Amino acid sequence: MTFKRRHLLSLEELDAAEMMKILETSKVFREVLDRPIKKVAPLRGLTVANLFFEPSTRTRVSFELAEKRLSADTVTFTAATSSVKKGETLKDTVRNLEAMKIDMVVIRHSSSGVPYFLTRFCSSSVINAGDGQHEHPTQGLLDMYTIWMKYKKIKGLRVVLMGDAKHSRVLRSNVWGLTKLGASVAVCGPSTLLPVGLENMGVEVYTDIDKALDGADVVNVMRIQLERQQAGLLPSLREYTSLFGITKDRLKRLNKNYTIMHPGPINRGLEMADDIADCDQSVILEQVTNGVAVRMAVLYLLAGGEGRKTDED
Amino acid sequence: MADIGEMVQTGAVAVTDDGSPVHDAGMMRRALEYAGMFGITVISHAEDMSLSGKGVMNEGYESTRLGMHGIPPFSEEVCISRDIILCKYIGTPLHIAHVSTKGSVELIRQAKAAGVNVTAEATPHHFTLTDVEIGKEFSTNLKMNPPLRTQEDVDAIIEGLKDGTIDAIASDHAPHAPEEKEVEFDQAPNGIIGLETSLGLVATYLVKPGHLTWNEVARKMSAAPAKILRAPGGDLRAGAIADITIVNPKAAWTVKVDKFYSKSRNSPYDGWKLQGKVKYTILGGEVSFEG
Repeated sequence: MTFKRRHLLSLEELDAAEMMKILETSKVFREVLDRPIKKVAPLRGLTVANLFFEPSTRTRVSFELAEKRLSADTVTFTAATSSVKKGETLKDTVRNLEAMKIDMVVIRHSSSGVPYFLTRFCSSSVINAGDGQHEHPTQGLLDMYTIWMKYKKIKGLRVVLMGDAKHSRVLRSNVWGLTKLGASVAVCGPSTLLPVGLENMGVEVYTDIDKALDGADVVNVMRIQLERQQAGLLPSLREYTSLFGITKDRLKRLNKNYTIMHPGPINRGLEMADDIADCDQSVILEQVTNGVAVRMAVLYLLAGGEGRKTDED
Repeated sequence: MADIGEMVQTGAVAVTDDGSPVHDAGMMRRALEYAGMFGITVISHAEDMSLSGKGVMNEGYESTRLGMHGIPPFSEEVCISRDIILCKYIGTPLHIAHVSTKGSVELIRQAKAAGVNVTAEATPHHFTLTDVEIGKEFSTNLKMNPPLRTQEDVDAIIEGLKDGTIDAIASDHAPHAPEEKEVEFDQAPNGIIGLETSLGLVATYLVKPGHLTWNEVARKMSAAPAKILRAPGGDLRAGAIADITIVNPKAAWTVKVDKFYSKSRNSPYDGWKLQGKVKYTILGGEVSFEG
């Protein structure tokens, strides 16, 4: 299939074939990352602006590396150095950047829906690098890629998404992506962090971790934000760990060839015991490596893939 | 408390907390008691902010899907229950502004049946739109408070309008400049303009399907509001004040926000095809608008 989209806004709007196209393309770029010279030329002459209106290290660096390895010119703009504080609207900020002739915009913002808002007035391709609590589609794709690489399939696997479903954009992207590719998905967390109607997203919902983990292949653990306790959603972080923390003992309920994932950054000792993050079944650092390849695939496909028109043609 | 007595002396016909709900039940009690002394209605924006929190849309499947902070229906219902109970004891006329949920309609229906001195209104957007629209393009013209709810709530509001539980239709007209609304969804101010689309929406979505007759529309958009506010108007008879709206019920038209008389454009109805249009507005016997 040819990939026709200009923007990557959510995994909810992609179909299974489009996601598989991204994953298959990622495989090619993953191989590039193991070469001594980790650089190819498909985005030569294109300019990508990374607009990070919310702090991020991993995702920002991952996108920057993906762009550089595709030979794009890149510029990164973070909220701390922005003109946003001077009272300029987001629309004006982005339009000014666009006036400098950029081709693609990667945006991270604390408000859900901002990438959609940008598409209303931007002529560039827009890539969602995390919008509020809505979606983080490239994280969802890299999680799926990591699972796919290990099991050579996604269909029929049992995946448990642990933790703060209410506030997690990573969880939403995982739910849409995995269910569309045929995985059976369970979400587990305290009732105060399970949003209304979650079961209508095609997942099973649990508040009992042992039941959730029973017979699962993959556990993807979401980060618990420390402020959830202050907001009265959790009595204490200590109680969260005792009821929902991932421990060696609890992992016995999983299938033999199980996998531990975490989108990072990890609160060691809170959502997972220290030794779990570094155990043999943990693919947490592979997720990070794969993230670069998946983002290269997304940038490449949105730029037109093999069919990209250049002046040299 | 504001200087309600002096405001009444200078022409105020009601008092309201619209947009900034009274959190403290003791304060609401005093407001009802004090306003009762002047025989005026207290209009309540019923919302418990501790339940609404940082909410920007209805709490439900759609807010979960979109990752938005939700305003649960019971944020409105808890506060309506409180105000109805206070009204039952104090007796000052209570009017519930912009009712948006099925549970609210049920509470008001029960209160009226029990003889509580309560009236209520609904807005056209709460019987023509649902929260499903928001995710289509995150338009801030779908952001208002109370938020758009679900189809079940829309159906209950229409039922409440039909059986008289909801006495009046109000536009909740809230103009905002384009630059205020062209921002991130959670940063945008609440509210839409409703004045120029109210009648057309009522005609198309309530009269045309047979939910209300034109006589009932006249009552809900004119006579009932006048009565609730104890203001003159709302009736057609010799010697009455000549504030009259003349409607062409058959006129078909398309909403075009750039043709609005209002300076604001924050309407979600741009491009909607409506049937029923105001021909003339007569104010104090003078034609003030010709459509």
